[in-house]
Amino acid sequence: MTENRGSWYLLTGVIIGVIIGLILSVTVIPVQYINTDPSTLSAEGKEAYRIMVAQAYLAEGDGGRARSRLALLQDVNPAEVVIAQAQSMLAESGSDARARALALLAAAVSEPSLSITPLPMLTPMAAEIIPATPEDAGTSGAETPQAAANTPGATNTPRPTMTPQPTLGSPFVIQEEPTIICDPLPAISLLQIIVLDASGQAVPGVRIEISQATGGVETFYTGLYPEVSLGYADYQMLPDAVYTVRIGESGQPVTGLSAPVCGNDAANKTTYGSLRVLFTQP
Amino acid sequence: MQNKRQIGFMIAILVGVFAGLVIGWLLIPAPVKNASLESLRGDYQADYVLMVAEKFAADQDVLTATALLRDIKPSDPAASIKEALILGQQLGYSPRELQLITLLQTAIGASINAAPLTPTTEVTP
Repeated sequence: MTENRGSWYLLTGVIIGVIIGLILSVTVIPVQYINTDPSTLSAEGKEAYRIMVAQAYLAEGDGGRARSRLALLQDVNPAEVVIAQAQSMLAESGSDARARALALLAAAVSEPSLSITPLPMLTPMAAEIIPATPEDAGTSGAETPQAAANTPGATNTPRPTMTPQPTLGSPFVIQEEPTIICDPLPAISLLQIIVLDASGQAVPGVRIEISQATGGVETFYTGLYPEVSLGYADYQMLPDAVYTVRIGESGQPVTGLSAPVCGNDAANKTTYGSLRVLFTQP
Repeated sequence: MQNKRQIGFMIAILVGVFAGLVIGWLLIPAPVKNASLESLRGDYQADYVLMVAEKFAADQDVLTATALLRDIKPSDPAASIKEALILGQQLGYSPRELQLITLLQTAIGASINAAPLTPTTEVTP
């Protein structure tokens, strides 16, 4: 007896192959895109891009350009995303300078009228622009000795500090006795800090250093809560802990700050309020 | 006869795989996401280089600048600067922006030239 199964096996093979091919094209060897735009970057790529935008903003002080660059990422709420990244970076003890740059960028996005002082240029702008030609683009960087020779006076000056100071002026000092906030009783005991400049304007991106008598220093920045104020920052206090804060790079330390006792709750347990401290430049 | 059918089946699968890849890559490609900085279009890369140059002008940190440029051109960060200069001129970057990029190019070129040579191991026959 002979069996005549026809050529259906070929169709079966093709169908199996197509399924395998589709799976491969999606998982193992997906399409490699080139010439993409920033909105298509991976999460890590977007974070790196935001940091770069923030650091360029810190250097140049050009808020409009920073906002345009940030808009390329097409985040729904750019300010919130930048703030979240800055907070996450601080929580992970990441780079202080980057977190500050992000805080200032967030402030610039939230408050377009905000202007910061650009960082001083450490490089003399006397360099001659070396006309680059498309033919040059393929050569390696080691083949550009003329660039160094054509740049008069491009001597590198050591930088006094790697942490840029967004606003220059007198050190911030405590303005008045801290305000105790018991009514309404806050769910968390916060040390609320508001930093204003000499003209009474809120100042974002100011470094706040907080330490406890038992040791340990933490850093955070103003500007991460633009919905409250660009000069606002807060820190969750522990009961019975005594804190010392210093505002900015040259501010005098303010000691003896602790969560205020607001009374007892229904279970006769001590409740703690928040403390609001105002710092200004004289 | 059986052997012929098996070979035909395998060829059919290969044809199917090829067709599946063509369909997956060209007809219904996956949406563009999770792209790397390296895959950015030239003008975006040029702007990235400009940002690095702006940062570099303020902090003079050649190592960080080089590391940042490696994000867009891992094999040859200096080449990304040259490409940015070419594109910058075509796109109408201001003289100051071109100067910033040139200064970055100078510093990175100098750092590459000043880098100590990697000792090589001599192979004796």
